[in-house]
Amino acid sequence: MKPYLPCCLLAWMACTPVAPTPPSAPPSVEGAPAAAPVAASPDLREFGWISEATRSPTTFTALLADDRDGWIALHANDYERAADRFETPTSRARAEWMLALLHHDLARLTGYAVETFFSEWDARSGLPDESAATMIATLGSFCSESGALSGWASRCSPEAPGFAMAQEIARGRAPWDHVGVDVYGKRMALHRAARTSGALDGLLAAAVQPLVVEPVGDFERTFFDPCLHRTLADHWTNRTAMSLGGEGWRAMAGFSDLGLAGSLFAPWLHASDLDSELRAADIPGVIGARAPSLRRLGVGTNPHAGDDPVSAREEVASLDRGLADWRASLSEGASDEGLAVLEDLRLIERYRQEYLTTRARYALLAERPRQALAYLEAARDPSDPTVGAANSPVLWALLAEAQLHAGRARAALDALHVLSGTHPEVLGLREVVGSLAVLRGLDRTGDSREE
Amino acid sequence: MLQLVLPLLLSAALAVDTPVRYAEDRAPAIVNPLFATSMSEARLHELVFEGLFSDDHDLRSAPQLAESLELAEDKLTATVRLRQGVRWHDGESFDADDVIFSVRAMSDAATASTEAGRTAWISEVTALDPHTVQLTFVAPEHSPQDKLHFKILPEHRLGELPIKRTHPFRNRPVGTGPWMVQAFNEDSSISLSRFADHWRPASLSELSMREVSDKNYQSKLLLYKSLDLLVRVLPRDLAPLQNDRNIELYPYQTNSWWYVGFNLSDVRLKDARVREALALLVDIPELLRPIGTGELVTGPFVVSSPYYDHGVPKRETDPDRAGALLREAGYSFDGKRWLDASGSPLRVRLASQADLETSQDVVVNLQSQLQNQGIVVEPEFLRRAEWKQRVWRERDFDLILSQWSFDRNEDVYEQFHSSGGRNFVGYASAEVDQLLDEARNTTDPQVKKQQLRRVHSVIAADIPMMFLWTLDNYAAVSSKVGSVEIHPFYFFTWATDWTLR
Repeated sequence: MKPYLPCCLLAWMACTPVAPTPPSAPPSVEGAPAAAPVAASPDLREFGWISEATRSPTTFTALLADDRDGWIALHANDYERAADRFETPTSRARAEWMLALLHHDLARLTGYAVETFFSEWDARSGLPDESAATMIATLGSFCSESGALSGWASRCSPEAPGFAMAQEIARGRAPWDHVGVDVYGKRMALHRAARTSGALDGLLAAAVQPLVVEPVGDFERTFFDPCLHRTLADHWTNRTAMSLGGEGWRAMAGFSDLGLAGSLFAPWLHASDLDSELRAADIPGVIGARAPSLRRLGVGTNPHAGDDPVSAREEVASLDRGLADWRASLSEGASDEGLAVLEDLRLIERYRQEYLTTRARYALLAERPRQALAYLEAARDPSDPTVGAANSPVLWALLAEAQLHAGRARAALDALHVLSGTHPEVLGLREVVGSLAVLRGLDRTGDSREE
Repeated sequence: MLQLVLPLLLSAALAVDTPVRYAEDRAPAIVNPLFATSMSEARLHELVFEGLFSDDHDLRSAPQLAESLELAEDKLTATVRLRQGVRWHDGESFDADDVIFSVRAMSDAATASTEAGRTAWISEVTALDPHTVQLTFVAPEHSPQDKLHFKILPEHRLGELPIKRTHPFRNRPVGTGPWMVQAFNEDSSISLSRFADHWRPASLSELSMREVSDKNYQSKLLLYKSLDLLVRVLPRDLAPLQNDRNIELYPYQTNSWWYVGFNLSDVRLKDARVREALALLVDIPELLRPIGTGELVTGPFVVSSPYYDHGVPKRETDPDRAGALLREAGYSFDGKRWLDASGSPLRVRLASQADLETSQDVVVNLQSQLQNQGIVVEPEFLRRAEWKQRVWRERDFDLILSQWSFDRNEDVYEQFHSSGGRNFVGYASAEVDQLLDEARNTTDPQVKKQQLRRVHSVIAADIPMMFLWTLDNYAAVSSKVGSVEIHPFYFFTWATDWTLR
């Protein structure tokens, strides 16, 4: 992969005359076998948005003409900026959808980190007396998206602030329905504002401050809000649905009616893949993981047996062979403008990363963290250790989740640190994962060497 | 040079049954876990020696030479049953006496093992039978298996205490690990072969450690298939490796940071104003530029660490402030150089390890920066033995350029506690000592975070070192090696699972 050099293309995007042409109709992929033989010369028309942008650069330019800043931001993986800059609601939904996915991932990660931290702390030495720990664990379990409420609520002290909220949570009510004047009540009011009127500023400003601070001798124990990303995920899911004129996450089916705007930079190659995956999926984050069209490149999409990273790496190698052949075929038939789009915007690398991160999420949800790590390590572009066009926020979030599930709490912090460069609201998540890493090291003697 | 050598290397690469060849910047000085100081030694020890416990793939302690551990209710003793049928590389049987010997050797004051801190929590070790030992602890232990990762040594080969660094074992090491040392070769390479009698034999039959000090050259050798594995690739060298389909990159997490240490026993450098002035004269991003992307650090933790105090500001280059501090400390500027009260130029020796191309670049750059500001810098490139002698033992240096790597616990006690065995800059702070002592004993992870963040801020203010940067870690491995998983610190912990494709 070569370094990211968008400048010439961006100049070209600004100057090339607009001459819209209709997008090519994607073929059906239903019934494609899981282990189809490698296609030596895949039909370029079969491969969705990359082929379309490369072979019909004018279509691509026409799409960008209306919402240039939004698409540039989306290409740079700056989802918030894209959501702000897109003027066309349906295009804006693409950025909102990415924000929804990101915060769903972070909500899931927060839930796991909070539950693991408090459970392991409790098992090692018991949670400290008169601490907000059980209250935070209660909140965390509700907001984890795991659907399982653990027994934390029953352990909250009746004298402790927030006890009424814990009781409501134990009865299955959402904490943001709790009205109160204590710290929890105030924070939940911010959640309500975000959920009902879409006002995120207060919640995001509060996110970088601890929800609870407890003095411990000369030091402090701090606990952050474990429900932040759950509310943000719900907010952006709703915004996506509103922009597409639908309801719930399945409103994303509307992307299949948008032509190139519905698939450009997405993990699904074209509308028929999206439709096919939507029919099979019961959760939103895995759309793109089956990728029926990829089978034409010889990439099998059946899940592997067990959490075997070797098979995941072999799948990546197979993907890379297929994409290399595909790149060669595309390049042969493309005009200079098409080649500029393909190479300067690194469309194949972009698709590869989108696909592999979705595969990683799929593996995580199937409790295969080592496979997820293998996908994510392959997806990550080592030339740029930041959030940007080369490496998306979702990639870093999933990397943290995979590391944590693989027992590597300290390594998860590396990914969260990168993510915090563009998403400072992950501070609370960093703190709880950091506490877990510290907890797991309490009984160890450290080792250090000169390099 | 490369053009001449590469064809020869290439022809060697075509030989049948070549071992898996990995590169280290510097070959281990000796192979004896009692005196390990460098990462290259730690990595080699992981192939040759074993502990009672080791990390499994989830980084949990799993039995290695132990079979099981039973912790007493009061948590003050534990009974460890040893794996039976284990043999040393010379065919002798491993038993409880080896465990007792290893603990005593590491704890022995006269031996002065670099591992002493790793057994200090054990007050007594006795054999209940040839395959069972009982450990008694200084204080209650919640999870002693997490501390029983130090390497076990053969009593029958090392003999009586104390053990000296010069003991012949260093050239004829015998472990129980999956590979055994076959030869120390004249070109500084080390050949290892699979230990057929290992309790869990490895798949790779031969390994070879080669010393290649030039990182760029390492990358080229990998590209030309004359090496199979680089343990650490510099960010600047990633791009060509990334583009080669026969090479796979593996990111892994090790907490490493570079620094320039001040010898605090030097009367000039004891003055905090002089240290701060020197720090203010250095443009650290400019030093980093030739190496590639990295992240600047302000203290003894990497930026992603839970112990990193993000409130400590980065020190910006400020020659005016540096000048004021030097004047305050009694120095004067003659228009070209800073002079002390006797009129002699302010002159410092800057030691770094010889043959490390990357360090040399930094040293030359640093020398140039300080000399441009009127400080005379005399670089010293020390070879391995000289480095250990002068830096570790005699503390004969003014400034040193080096880097520390920490496992995931990021325990800086040895580097900054006044009694720390690796505190060769001679740093002593009552507050830091107290914080480090308390942090070792606290059971509250949140409090430990706060304690070590304060350690960061106090040390940053005291400036015993110029903290420089941390780099991303990538290993590069030939695709001919399969099933690769890399331990984030010891690297080869899971190499028994590696295969040749």
